[in-house]
Parts: sequence; structure tokens; C-alpha cells
Amino acid sequence: MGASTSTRFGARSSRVLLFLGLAIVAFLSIFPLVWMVNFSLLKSGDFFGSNVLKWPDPFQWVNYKNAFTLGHVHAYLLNSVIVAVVVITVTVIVSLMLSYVIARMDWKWNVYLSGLVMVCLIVPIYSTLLPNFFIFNKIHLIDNYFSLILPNIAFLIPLSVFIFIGFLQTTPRAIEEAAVIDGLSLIGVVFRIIMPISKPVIASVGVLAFLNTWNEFIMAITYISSDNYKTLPFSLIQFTGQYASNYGAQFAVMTLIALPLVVLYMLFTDRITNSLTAGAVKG
Amino acid sequence: MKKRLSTLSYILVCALFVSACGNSNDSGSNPSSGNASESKSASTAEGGNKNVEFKFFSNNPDRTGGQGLAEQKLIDRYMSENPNVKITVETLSPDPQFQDKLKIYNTSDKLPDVTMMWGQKRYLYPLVKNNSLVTFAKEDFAGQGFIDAAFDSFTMDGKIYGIPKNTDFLVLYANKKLLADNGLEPPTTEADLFKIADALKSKDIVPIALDGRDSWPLALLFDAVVARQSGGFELYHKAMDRTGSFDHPDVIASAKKIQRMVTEGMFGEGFLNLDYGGARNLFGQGKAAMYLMGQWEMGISTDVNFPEEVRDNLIAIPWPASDDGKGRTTDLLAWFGGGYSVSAKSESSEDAKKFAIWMFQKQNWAKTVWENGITFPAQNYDEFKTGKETRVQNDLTGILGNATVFSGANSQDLFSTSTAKSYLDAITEMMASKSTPEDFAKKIDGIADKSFKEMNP
Repeated sequence: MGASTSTRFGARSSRVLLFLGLAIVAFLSIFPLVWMVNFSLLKSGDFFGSNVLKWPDPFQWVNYKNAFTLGHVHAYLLNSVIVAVVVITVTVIVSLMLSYVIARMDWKWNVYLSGLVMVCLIVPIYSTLLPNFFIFNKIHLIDNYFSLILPNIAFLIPLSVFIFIGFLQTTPRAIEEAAVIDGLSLIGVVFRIIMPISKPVIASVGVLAFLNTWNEFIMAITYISSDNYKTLPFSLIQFTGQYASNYGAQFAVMTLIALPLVVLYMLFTDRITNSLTAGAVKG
Repeated sequence: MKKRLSTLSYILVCALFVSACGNSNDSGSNPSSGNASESKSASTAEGGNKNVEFKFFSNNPDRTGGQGLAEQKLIDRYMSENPNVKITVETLSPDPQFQDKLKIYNTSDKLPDVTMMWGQKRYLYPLVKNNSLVTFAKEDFAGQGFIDAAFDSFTMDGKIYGIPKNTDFLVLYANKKLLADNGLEPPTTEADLFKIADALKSKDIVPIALDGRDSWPLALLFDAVVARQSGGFELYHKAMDRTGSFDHPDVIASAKKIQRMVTEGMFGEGFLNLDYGGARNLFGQGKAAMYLMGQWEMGISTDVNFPEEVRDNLIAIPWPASDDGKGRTTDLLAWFGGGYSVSAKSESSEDAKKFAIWMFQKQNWAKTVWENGITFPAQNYDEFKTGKETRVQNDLTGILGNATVFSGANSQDLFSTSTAKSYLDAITEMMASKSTPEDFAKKIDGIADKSFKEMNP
């Protein structure tokens, strides 16, 4: 009797501890968001005061208005969406096909091909900026949607292939064999058999591509110069002078940029975590 | 399988071929085909009515305030006066990114027609070496009231490669009421500074708000203190051109004084983590009695983000004199920060040059920046005084007008690209008491030596 109460008590207290721990983690994760939204409603002069959070008095909705009018959020948002959609689509299709070639086909250059793709994982973005600028300049791709789309895809393919291969190695070949016996072509196998069964991986690769493209800035400032092709992060620097900055409007822009990301995370959180371990365990 | 592979390689070969064609076509037709239509129209119609389009590259993305506003106002006016001219603006900030992109533009010969430029050898030299910049003659600006020394930092081998836009100088902004409430007067000697720090110690008021996160304001402070200690700016100028040395008793004494300021809480707790906006807001919110910054912050007195009580009680004063009277307040740390250059390699560089010269007619740049309370031009602006200037604007005019000695470039601007950061880091370290004044003096002398060797190979 005594022993059982003490274990129950122990279980309960460890539960409380767990709950407390999780509550702290949750608070730490959510606080920056609250902080960001709070700051987006303050006057620039209110920043860096003694209080961490400050009640906006009055609410500076003008920051959001500025974000749209002066920060061109709507125009740059459209550009970000265009770039992201193309990057995601191409990355998914190309990586799927490439990883099928590497994981399923037997030919002598296979090892080298997969080696080449993996080597690309370690190329730092910074080392490519200047050479890419020269190449794009030569072929008139500078200041163009393609000057963002192409390098973004290039940097995403190795990681995506890595994820796809991991998944493909765990799927049985029996279905494909059956499909080939039934007369399905190679392209057919890839798009009618493999693509549907790797939906969770496609989702995660898509999310990964989206996050990368959405937050990408260093390539954008190097390759883009006209307003027509600027992406969302440019809205942020729209509010910096040489010295002072309009912090309120910057936080409003940050809130607007972060919003799609937060929504996306909420919708796909299972997929994101699942896919990163997809293929890790056979089953 | 084999068939598919050969198809694949066929496609690859085709792709290579097509892109190669693209290249050769490109180099054959026109090196900068973006300007192809322009050059065509330029050759068909001489003078007045040809359509010109050129690019203006600025480090002020905010076009609604500050210097960005001044630039935009002038660009808009020029376009409405010259309907055949179209100027597109590209902006990029912060400055390191701007400088990186400038480098990329320079190495690929795509420098924008008019570009913001800093007037120091380390910024100008790579562009001059690449023949990227148009030269100006002093006569281009005759009668526009330019301060004579203003062109010095844009001049290399006797040729002018840029137009200076601002007179920058270091001052102390002070909140008169906050000082008076604590029984204090604005400081006139450095001893007063320590008195103020002592009086405010227990009051939760920062004596001087200082942006310590960016190391450059610390270097300005260092210059100011050295100038008072040694009675002028000779010391660091000579240390830079190696006729003198930073390893000097006055430098050591200055470093000691600065370390004492830090330990006595002159800049508040944790100022090394306070960034530009933080320091500015600390002062603007009335939580600091003074603020060390350049004249360009004069707009703080009209910034509606701050309480009226603070704005109405702002004054600007020079960095206080030394206690022994050797360093006077009329020795002003003043330099000509930034300006504009014109690309020599574009189709429309002639028209761009015309615009740049027009921009710096005194009724344009000088008048616009003065009337809008944006900054001090590198030109005489007396005739544009309206009588509606703010208190701070008048204080600053007084400081500039009373100055008998100008420093020219501040010390950090004289270092080479690769050594500038080590110099600033050394100052930050010294202020964080991570090095002794003696070691500090030796260290920056070594850096100055390295810089000199790099700049004069």
C-alpha cells in the first residue's frame, strides 16, 4: 500500500516536472513571436527601453501601413511566391528523378554520380557568389527571376536527393518489378509508382525548399538590383537609413514574413519531423 | 537503358552547345546590351532630346527621410526638368553589404552610373585602379561654396574622383533639463564629465549614451580624447604616415583616461552591447543625460518618436576641453564623410556626370539638406538659413563656425581595408579593459605600421 502510493506520488511529481519543463520550452519558443508582434506595434522611439515588452499606446498600425506602402511587401511577396513555387516544383521533380537513377539503376557511373551530388552538399554559398555573378552577367540572367531560382535549386538538390535516396532504399522493389512486368515505362515507374508512395518525403523536401527560398537573402542582394525582382527580405532593409532605422516598420515586416512560416509549420509539423527520419529505420 | 543514357547525353551536349552560342552571340553584339537601345539613340540624336537612362546606387533605402529623401527629391526634380532623362535608383544597406556589391560591380565592370562613395584611399583605390571612375575638375564646382579641404579625400594623384556631400563632426548632445534637475551644468572640461558621472551614478541615469556595439563610435571617442590630451590631431596623423607613432605617452594617457571613464560608469552598464538605435533611444527617451554622436543626428530634436520634454531641452556641445587647457573645444574632429562618384564605363557616363555636377549646385544639395534639417553639406550654406532652424541646428552651426582646427579624416578612415578592423577591435578591447594602456598603444602602433606598408607598397 505504502509502496504503491509512493510510486504513484513519484509518477505524479515526475509528471509535474515534465509539464513544467515543457511549459518552459513552450514559453521560450513562443515568446520571440509575442515579442515580435508586440514590437511591430510600437513607435521606433519606444525600443530598447527598460521593459522587455511594452503596451503599445496607442497601437502603431501605421507600421503595417508603412510595411505595405513603403516596404512594398505585396510586390516583394509576389516575387517570393513566384520564386518559391518554381524552386519547390523543380527541386522535387529533379531530385526525385535523380535519386531514382542513383538508388535504383545499376550502371557504372552510379558511384561517381552519387559522390558528385554529395560533394555539392559542402559547397558554401559565399564561394559561389562572385563566379555566379560573372556567369549570369555573361548570359544575361542577372536581375532576373532565374538568377534566384537557379542557384536556389542548385543548393537544394543535394540535400533533397539525400533525403529521397534514404527513403527509396527502404521501399521494396516488388511493386516496381510488377509494374514493369505489366508494361510500364521507366518514366511511368518514376511518376506513377514512386511519386505517389514518396508523398511524405516530397512534402518534407517541399517544406525544406520553401524555408530556404523564403529566407534567402545573400544571393538576392548579389544578383538582384531592380525593384521588379526583389524578394521579401528586401522589405526589411527598406526601412534602414545610413544610421537610424524605422524599427517599428521593420518588426511589422518581420511579422508579415514570419506569418506564412508559422502557418506552414503548424500545418506540416508532422511531415517535417517524420520526413527527416524517413528511411532511418526500416519498416 | 543504354538508349536512355545516350538520349540524356545528347540533351546535355545540346544544352552546352546552346549556351555556348548564347555566349558568343553576346560578346559579339554588345558588351552591355542592357544599354544597347540607349547607345543607339545616343548616336542618332546629338544634344538635347536623346533619351537617357541611368542608374543611381545609394546606401539609403529609406527614401522618405534623411539623406535618402534628399537624394530622391533631387533625382525627381532633375527628371522633371529633363524629361528625356530617366534615373532608376538601386538601394542597398547596411554599408558592408553595399561595399561588397560595389566590389562585385567593379570587378564585373557593371558599376552603376552614379554611386554613393566613401572618400578614402581604401574605398577609392580599387575603383581607380580599374579605371572605373570619371574624374572631375575643381572648375566643375566653381562658385558652389565647397569647403576647400572637402575634395582632399576624394583626390588621388591630383585627380578628383568623387564629390563630397557632408561635413561630419563629432559632438555631444545633452539633455539640459535632465542635467539641471540633478544640479548639473553642461560640461566644459573633461573634469566636468567625471563630475557628472559621479553625480548620476546612483540615479539610474546613464551619463553618456554610447553605441559600443559598433566599434566606430568608440574610435571617434578615442580620437577626441587623444586630441584633447595632445592638443590637436597631429598625433594620429603622424602615426598614420609613420612620421610619428601611436606608442606615445599621450596615447597611453588617453587610453588610461578612457578606461577610467568606463570604470566610473560614464557610458552606463553594458554599453559594449548597446547598438546604434539603442544608444539613440536611451538618450531620446530621457534615460541618458548626454549622447556622443556625429552632427548627422541633429534630427533627433524633431523626431516625434521621442517625448516632447526631451526634444525641447536638447542642446549640442563640443567635446569638453582638457583640464590643463591644452586641448581646446575649437579643435574639431571633423571629416568629409561620403559623396558620389560617376562610372566611367557606362554608355551614359557623360549624362550621369552632368547630373552629379547639377546635384551639387549649391541651391540643390546644400539647400535641400540644410532646409530639411538632414545634415551639414560640405558646402557653405549660410545663404539658406531660414531663421527656422532648431536649437540643435544653431548649436551645431556655432560649433562648426567657431572651430579653428579641423581634423580632416578621423583615424579609423585612414587604415587600410585589412587593418581597419583590427584597429577598431583593439580599441574595443582596451575599453573592455582587456588590454593595458601601454599594450594598447604598442598594438595599434603595430597595426598602423602594417597599414602603412599595405597602402604604400
